[in-house]
Amino acid sequence: MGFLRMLLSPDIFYTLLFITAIYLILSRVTGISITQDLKRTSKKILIKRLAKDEENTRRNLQLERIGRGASGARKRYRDLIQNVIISLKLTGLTVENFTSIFIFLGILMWIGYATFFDSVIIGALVAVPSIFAVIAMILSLTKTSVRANDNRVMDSLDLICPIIEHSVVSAIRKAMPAFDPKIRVHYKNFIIDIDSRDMSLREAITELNRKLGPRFDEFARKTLLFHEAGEEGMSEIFMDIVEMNNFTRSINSKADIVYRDTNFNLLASSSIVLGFLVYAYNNPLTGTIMRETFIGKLASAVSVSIVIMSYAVSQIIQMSIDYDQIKTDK
Amino acid sequence: MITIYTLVIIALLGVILNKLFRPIFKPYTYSQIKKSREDLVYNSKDSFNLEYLQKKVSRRLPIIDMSEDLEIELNKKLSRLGAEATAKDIRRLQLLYALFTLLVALITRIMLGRTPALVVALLSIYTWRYPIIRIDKEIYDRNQAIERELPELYSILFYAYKRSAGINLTSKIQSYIKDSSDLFYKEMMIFIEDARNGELYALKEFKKRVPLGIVIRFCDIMETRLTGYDNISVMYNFKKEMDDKRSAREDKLLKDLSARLNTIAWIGVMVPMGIILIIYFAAQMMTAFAN
Repeated sequence: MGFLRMLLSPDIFYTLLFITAIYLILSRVTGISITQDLKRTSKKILIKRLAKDEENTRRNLQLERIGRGASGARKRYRDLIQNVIISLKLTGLTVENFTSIFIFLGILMWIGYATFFDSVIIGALVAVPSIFAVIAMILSLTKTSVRANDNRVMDSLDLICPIIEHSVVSAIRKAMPAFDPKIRVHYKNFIIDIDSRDMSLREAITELNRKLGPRFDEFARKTLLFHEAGEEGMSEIFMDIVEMNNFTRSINSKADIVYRDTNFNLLASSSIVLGFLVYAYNNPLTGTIMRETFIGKLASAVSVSIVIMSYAVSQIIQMSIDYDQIKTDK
Repeated sequence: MITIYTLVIIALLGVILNKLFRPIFKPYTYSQIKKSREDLVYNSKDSFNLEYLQKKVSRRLPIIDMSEDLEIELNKKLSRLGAEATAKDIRRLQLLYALFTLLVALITRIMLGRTPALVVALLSIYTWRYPIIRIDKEIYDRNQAIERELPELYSILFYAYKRSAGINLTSKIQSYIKDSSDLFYKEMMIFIEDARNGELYALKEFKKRVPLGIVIRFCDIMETRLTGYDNISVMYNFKKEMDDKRSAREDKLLKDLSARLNTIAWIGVMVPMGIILIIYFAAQMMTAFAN
């Protein structure tokens, strides 16, 4: 018994006829249009959601400004999505918009799977990994462009850091012609912000950090420190960043080899599992159990969702190495 | 099918009635009125405050005796966190949590039965320990934060002292923690409050409070510096020592990464295979018994 079976039954024709007749009569008599109402309510919901997202964005920005930003898994998620936004050039969207889209997609998937499997629990069991898989797919699509952007930012930092003497801004001005054209725009906007738009250094560099991504975090932090409490000749603190960039590059090149092996392993193992599942469905011994009982459906849903989940988690781990781990033990 | 027809009719009637009579009888909903009232008269004390309630209730509870060693140890932990509460307050909180769990167990005994009530009653052992577990976790997290962020702070102090001798340690730390993580900020704020009684005193307290290797080295070096000796070479050595460990940690990071990825791939194969195999053998056994 379920929604799907009800839709396929022959009685549905008369029901639909009845509903359309009533709708037509009512719309003629009273002048109420349900389609317009639906449009209006959906528009209202969308506008409300967008306003809420904007409010959340503003709140997160304010928290970040007073030094109470996200940490741990939340920070990692925000960094990943911010990287995606940078690499796909979706300048109008924010991380909060992405979160709402994922939640909306998840609810849609849940409804879809629940009607398909005739069970709410199995629907949820498959919908959650599917959302993770969507996130992992977006991440793996933007993997190369994120890496390229990181390399560009690190190259620019390697140029800026050695020539800082009294001011970071003047060093950026000096090194500007040598930057990659794709990120030179952001640096140019940074200088315009300070010169013409009357922004403070803290505001301007936070904006630049948002545009260039997490590889710029340490530089932004040290710049603020240097300008607010710096002493004569303290510009050597920036040379640590150049050293750290070297380590980051070497870790990236070594990790790529590891990724190639593990991705191949994952693909092979998941194909084995799926083959085994297909065998279990067609085998006369287990075929009826897998096709018709709740336990069989649950088992197939769980095994497929574990395969999807392992793929998604491994992609997310590959995209979010914590390079700061090499600074201290643990 | 008849139920569906009636439901559709009721829904459509509801839409029409709502459309016609709403603007006349009830133009604003209750939640809208309430929200506008709250905006006009906002008082933060009106909102529900769980911590305040906990304090108020637990103050009336008796103290269950504890050994002197335990009390000293707990007080040490609390002073390391810079908290105002004492060991006795924590003891009362433990009793409150355990009593609450037992009350829930009593309600489940009446509502559901004996076995779930037993499970909930056994949970009271965990809730008795919960305040102490929370304190231990907070200490562990702060230690992690210190091990992560102290080297960077140290490198900044090193470069500052390298050029000029007259550096104000407290103001440097203050300007650093503006952009550091929340936990490190909390820890160093205790240091800065101590520094009102003198920076040497604050360093000694810091060392006593957080007995980690890196903190002890840091405090020793800074104490020598503050007493007036020029120990820039020692400072340089310490920095170089910390930097040189990086390449070893890089190998460890890559090894951990590949191990984690392999574990995930292994789980992704083994668990689904196990589930399918169990069903396969169960089906085989069932057919065997049926015959």
